[in-house]
Amino acid sequence: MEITKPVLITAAAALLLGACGSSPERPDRQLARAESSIQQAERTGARHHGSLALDRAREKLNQARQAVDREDMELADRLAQEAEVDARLAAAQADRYESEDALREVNDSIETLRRELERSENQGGINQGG
Amino acid sequence: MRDLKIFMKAGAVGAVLLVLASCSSTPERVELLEQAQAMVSEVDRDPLAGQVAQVELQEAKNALERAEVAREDDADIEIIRHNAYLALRNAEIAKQRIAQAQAQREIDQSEARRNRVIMEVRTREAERARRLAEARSREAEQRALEAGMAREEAERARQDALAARQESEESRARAEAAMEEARNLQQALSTLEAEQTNRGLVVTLDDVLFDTGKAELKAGAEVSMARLAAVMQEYPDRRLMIEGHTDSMGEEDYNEILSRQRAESVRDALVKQGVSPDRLITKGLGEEFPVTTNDTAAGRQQNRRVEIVVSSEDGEFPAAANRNTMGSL
Repeated sequence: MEITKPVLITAAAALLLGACGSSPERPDRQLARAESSIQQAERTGARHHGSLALDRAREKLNQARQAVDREDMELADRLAQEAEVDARLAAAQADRYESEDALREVNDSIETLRRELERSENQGGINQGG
Repeated sequence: MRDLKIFMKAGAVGAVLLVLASCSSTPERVELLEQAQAMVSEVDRDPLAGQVAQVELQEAKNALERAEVAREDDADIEIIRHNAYLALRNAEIAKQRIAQAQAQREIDQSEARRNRVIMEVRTREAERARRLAEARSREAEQRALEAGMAREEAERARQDALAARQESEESRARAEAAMEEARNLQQALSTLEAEQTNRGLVVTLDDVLFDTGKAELKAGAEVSMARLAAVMQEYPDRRLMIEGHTDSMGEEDYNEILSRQRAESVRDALVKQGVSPDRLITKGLGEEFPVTTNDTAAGRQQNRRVEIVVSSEDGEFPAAANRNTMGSL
């Protein structure tokens, strides 16, 4: 009984600490995912298009690393998750932007064609005798 | 033995208090959660979502569920905000994919349309050549019979009609061009998440782009500012109104100064990128125009922002855009 008393108290303390979140490990996998999402977004041209979502992602990843230095691993994990989702949003925005750009080009070329069609229609009657 | 029991009881009570103290209580409403719920259900209703954005939509729903469970369990508000944030962004990704798929679809339809127009051009050219040949032979037959004056008169009437048609087409084209420019401007600013409001197009810079309590814009925002500057080059008649905002913590005067300095910091970044300073207006509006509650940390972060309002194409801002602090110019 004398030996188990301190053991019981220590176990109780550990359980109580665990109730409010144990000390987790470095969220290395999540940090790597955030990093890779940011790189991928930069490859799609989100950087070129000047994306606010990508700026947020980079800032949050920096803050995540600072949180790791302070050993606040839970905060680091959350920040890295948010950085990852912002980077994926930036990539999706860039893809959409390029598709809409391509659509505009096609429509412009149709418009030009149509105007030429109308113009030569109008000229056709006048030049008929020439 | 009795000492041990008393000790354990006291320890248990103390431990419960410790647990309650470190998991803070939550307010009734979390605005980010409501925004996330609204956007997730909006995306869910779109039939295209299942085809092109199933993964993101599911992730959004999962995050939303975690947020709602956390709220019911009265968990730390940061957990609720975090999951609501993930849900909102995933739903936004889904929206982007849907818009992209729609653009792709329209490209396919447009290409079919272009081919038809090309065919039309060729057909009409052939038709015109045929008619030209016919007309020439008719003319040769009827030249002796046709009165020269009658032909001239018909031609004049035709040219009048043509001129009138061209004029109305030109004014229609001008009106269309103005609308098209407005649409193109919004698209050009889409990566800056510009929103159409009653004040005009507004780009909002998040608090995370500034150091806590400081006025300098972080270097990481340079590319976005370069983008905005490039758009300003393309639309030389537009001006920008740059407004700084803070949350309600601290002195009002201090907040007005800090918000003005942040606006000026954004202005300086744009000037550095080549935008002429007389196209930029800065204002420090302090804590007077929050967008959400100041009672939560999440709300306060949202209120700390810089808004950039784009003028109309005559360089003016509608009355709704002119917000001033009390007692200032």
